[in-house]
Amino acid sequence: MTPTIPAELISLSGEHRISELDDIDALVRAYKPRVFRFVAFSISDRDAAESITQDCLLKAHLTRTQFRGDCSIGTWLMRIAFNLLRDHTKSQKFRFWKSASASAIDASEVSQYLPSGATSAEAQLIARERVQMVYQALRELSGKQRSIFLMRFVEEMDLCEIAAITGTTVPTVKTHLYRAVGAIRARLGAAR
Amino acid sequence: MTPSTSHLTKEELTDNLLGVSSLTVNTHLLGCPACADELERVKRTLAGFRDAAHNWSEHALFSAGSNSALTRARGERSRPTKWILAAATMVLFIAGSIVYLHQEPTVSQAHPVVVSTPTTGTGLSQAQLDQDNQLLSQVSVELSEAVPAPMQPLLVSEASRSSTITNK
Repeated sequence: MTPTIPAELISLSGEHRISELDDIDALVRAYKPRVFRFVAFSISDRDAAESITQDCLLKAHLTRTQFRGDCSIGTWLMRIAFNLLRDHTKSQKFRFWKSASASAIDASEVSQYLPSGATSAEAQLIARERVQMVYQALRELSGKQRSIFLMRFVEEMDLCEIAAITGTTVPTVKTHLYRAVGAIRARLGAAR
Repeated sequence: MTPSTSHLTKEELTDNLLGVSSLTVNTHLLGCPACADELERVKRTLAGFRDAAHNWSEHALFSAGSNSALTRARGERSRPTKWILAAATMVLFIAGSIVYLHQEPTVSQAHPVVVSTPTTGTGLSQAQLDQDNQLLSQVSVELSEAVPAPMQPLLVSEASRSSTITNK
């Protein structure tokens, strides 16, 4: 099944989006947080995520003439980031530093950034524990499952977009999501 | 829904999270508090994780300084310009060296060319050639003489003396 791009993704004219790619400042401002977040939670390393995010934005800017305009810039950037991540995780360097990185993202650190809202201290504690459980469950997923989960539930991307980025089909994306959600539920169920 | 438990399967629950659940699943959720609670719990957990991830990444980028990509990109952009300038300087230097090295022989060769140019083809040059040939033949004649010109008076006096002796 060939993935299709939703109509809203091609609403902007290609010319407008290419000019947006020309402005590196605007590109960084608009897309760096999203790309960084996706990469950081995919590899769980802040420094490497910073480096890959820079590579991604730079590559997009330098190869902007190759952007055909058949998807949004965000989707295109995520595709570049996904490919860079795949290359990065294949490298021996990553395998060596994976377990010993000083800039590894800590689950408890992430949970500290949970919005406090108007809930009680106990509810906050439970919510933080759950954030940590999701993070730990993500670490046990395969790289592709983790990326697909992050694209859907953190970046809130459309299934068709995810399929286009990962080079798979929508049913395959859903299968990965079933497994990812199953793993998270198993963690949550074990903690209950 | 599995027949044994009559609860939602993980696929049905995930489909609901993805917003693609069927009417049957939605109807089941209305009548099954266990599945509804489970779904709500997973939704809340995922939403909490998403919010924490967004806040964490904003903080991480702010503390790291968000201009590093920009700086690097600018460096990359200026890199081709630097290469062009370096290449142009090299070409100028090499061209200058070549011109300088070839300048000396060119000047020395220019003189014979300038001198020899009038000797070819014109009537004036032919006259000059004749004049030169005449001069050369004159020199040859003088050289072929047994007694050099400065010695000529001596030769005359010697001849006159010998004639005087003969007459005696």
